Amino acid sequence: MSHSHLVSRRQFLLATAGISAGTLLAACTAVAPVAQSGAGSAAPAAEKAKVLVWDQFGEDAAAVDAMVAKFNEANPNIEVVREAQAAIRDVIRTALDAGAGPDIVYYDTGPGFAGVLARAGLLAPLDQAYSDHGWDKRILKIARERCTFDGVTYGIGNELEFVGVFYNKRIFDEKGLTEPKTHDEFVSLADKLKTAGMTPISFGDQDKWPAGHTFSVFSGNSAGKEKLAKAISGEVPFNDEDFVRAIQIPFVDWVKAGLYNSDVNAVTYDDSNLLFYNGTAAMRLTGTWMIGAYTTPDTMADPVGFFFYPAVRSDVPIAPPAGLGSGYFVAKAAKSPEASFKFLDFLFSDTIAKDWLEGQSMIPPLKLNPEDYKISDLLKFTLNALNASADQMGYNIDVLTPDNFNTMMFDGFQEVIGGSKTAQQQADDLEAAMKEAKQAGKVMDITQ
Amino acid sequence: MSAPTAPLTPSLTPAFSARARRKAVAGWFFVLPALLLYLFFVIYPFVTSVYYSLTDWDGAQPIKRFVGLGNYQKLLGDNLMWEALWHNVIWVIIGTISPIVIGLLLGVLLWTGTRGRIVFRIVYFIPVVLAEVVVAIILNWIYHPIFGALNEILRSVGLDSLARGWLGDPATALPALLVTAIWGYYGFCFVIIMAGLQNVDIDLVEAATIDGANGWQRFIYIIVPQLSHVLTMITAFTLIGGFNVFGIVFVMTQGGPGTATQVIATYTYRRAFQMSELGYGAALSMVMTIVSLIASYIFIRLRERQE
Repeated sequence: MSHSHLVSRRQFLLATAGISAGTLLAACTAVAPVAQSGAGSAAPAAEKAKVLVWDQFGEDAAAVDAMVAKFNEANPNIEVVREAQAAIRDVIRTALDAGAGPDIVYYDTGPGFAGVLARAGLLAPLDQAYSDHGWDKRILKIARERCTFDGVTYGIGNELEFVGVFYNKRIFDEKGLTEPKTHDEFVSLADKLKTAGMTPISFGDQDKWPAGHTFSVFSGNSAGKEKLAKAISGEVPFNDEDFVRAIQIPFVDWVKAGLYNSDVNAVTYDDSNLLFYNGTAAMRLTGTWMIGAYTTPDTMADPVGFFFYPAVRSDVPIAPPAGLGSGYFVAKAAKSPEASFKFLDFLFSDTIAKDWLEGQSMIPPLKLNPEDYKISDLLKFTLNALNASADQMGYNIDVLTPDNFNTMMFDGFQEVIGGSKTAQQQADDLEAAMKEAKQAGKVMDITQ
Repeated sequence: MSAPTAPLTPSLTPAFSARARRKAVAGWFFVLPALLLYLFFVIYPFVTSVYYSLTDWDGAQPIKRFVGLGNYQKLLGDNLMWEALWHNVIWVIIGTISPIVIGLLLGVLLWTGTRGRIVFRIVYFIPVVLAEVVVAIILNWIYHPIFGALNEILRSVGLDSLARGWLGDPATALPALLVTAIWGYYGFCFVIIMAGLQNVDIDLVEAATIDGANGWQRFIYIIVPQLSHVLTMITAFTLIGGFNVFGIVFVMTQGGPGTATQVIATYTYRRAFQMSELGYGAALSMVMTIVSLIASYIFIRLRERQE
């Protein structure tokens, strides 16, 4: 009797084998219903186009979320979904290539970033959209130029910014200091701060990229805009004396003179900001993307001023690095390109400029009057400076140079700061990297 | 006598064969799901990596140009690859020996009978439970040049001259990373060794004690040989981990300052994903695989020969 309730070995084997095979079959056949359901729901989906946007503003970018919400409200037939990506560079190529990526991606504009995607045919050309939506008249020239690769425009650059010196006004007032007009005046001012027991300049290069901005400032001021453009385009060698000087001053002379906090290579960018926030350091050489933090009393209690780093040579006018933070690009495989274009058109409309400026402290690529917005004096100054002299400004080198060059910059500057490499050796290595990139056809010509 | 056995052979053989075949088929059904997963997630990517290593693919272009052994030839002249490999060798030697020695000593100390054994086990094992990134972040704070506990302690006891940016100094960055890795891993060795110690023959230890062996002699000649299988397993595991190390280096220094802490895995990541040289990165990953396979094979063979 009990035998009838037992499962025989044969039955057990058959059952388990059946389960295994069944699971596999289910796994294989599961694709079909999904595809069918996708096809079946095609009609309602067509009524409301979905646009997936990947950006790098972070999860808590309330101002950007508000822009998306405004767009969705104004366009009931389109639903834009924003997803913040922390490591967009690691995933974007694979995602776009697999057709599983976003419709719009907010990505760095250089040839080593969006340029790679464009050349791989993963981005949609936007030249037609520029003329259809009037962007060619509305969007600033620089925002289009930096997203143009091999003569084709693929994106709209955003976050206009430049690099210069932020300073703590309270400390300057207390020490009776004024904004320096020459390089020598700057060094003398920094020496005075050091003698007073302060850290003259906060600098953290553990993340490696901050030194690239410092180098951009000194390259522009030492070589001048035109020569720097030629160097970035591979037409002038990077081991020229002007670029050696641009390495020597900030990474050798100032380190030796103790003008920075200690252990520059072990301090992160964020921590070097902390030294400026809490008044330990009097000055900070960085970009205008920090204005939001520097003008928020919760992070920085003291008032902050700004000046462009003065001329290094009397015969070369300053060329402070200016550029774009990132740009919006439409994927070649975007499910609804028109809906994507409509969203970009909305983002860079005059009405939304207010949200970028007031909400996000970022400057969109539009001609704007600072007096029309409730923004900090620093942001007004930035906007006025861009309106007045964007054409004379220089370049943020790492945005325009190829990957191997950037790697050499970032590693090499750490070594120069650490004293294991000379400025001349680093300049020679940079030139070798540029030659290698030129040979591989990876160099962007920005001289035209 | 042979007459009754004769018909048995033809009747049994087909029956046996049929049953064996059925068993084999059933066996395949059991193995198949795991085999398919293994083929899809291990063999296929491995073969694909070998193929990519023979191309100059940048990771984005649809065309993958075949360059034969070009990437491997380039590897030979790549100074940074050799530097990274050297750092791996240092990592493997120190990072393998240290956690095993620490785990072994702690394990034997607890095994010999200490009150609060469970508490010690938990405390030692906690770093293993933490994700590698968490371990890296914790130690990053300890090493922090401005607010870090290590420098604070050194300054508080008058050793100001030793305080430094541990991760920013080429002389201390790699040792600092190794300490992080050892702290995060010794607990694993400790727990495995503790498990192995449960099988150590106490009678042998007692006999050695009666024969006059001191503590050190009992440890070296009685306990350690009985743990040889456990130690072989942990060593092989740690050895391979040493060649594959990535997370701690990437989170804490990104290979810096300069290239002072660059290891093969971070260098591979950089070439493949940051410099858009996926073909070359694949070749580097092959080097990593081959080196760790050779090292593990040599070690296991040496152990077997000793036994």
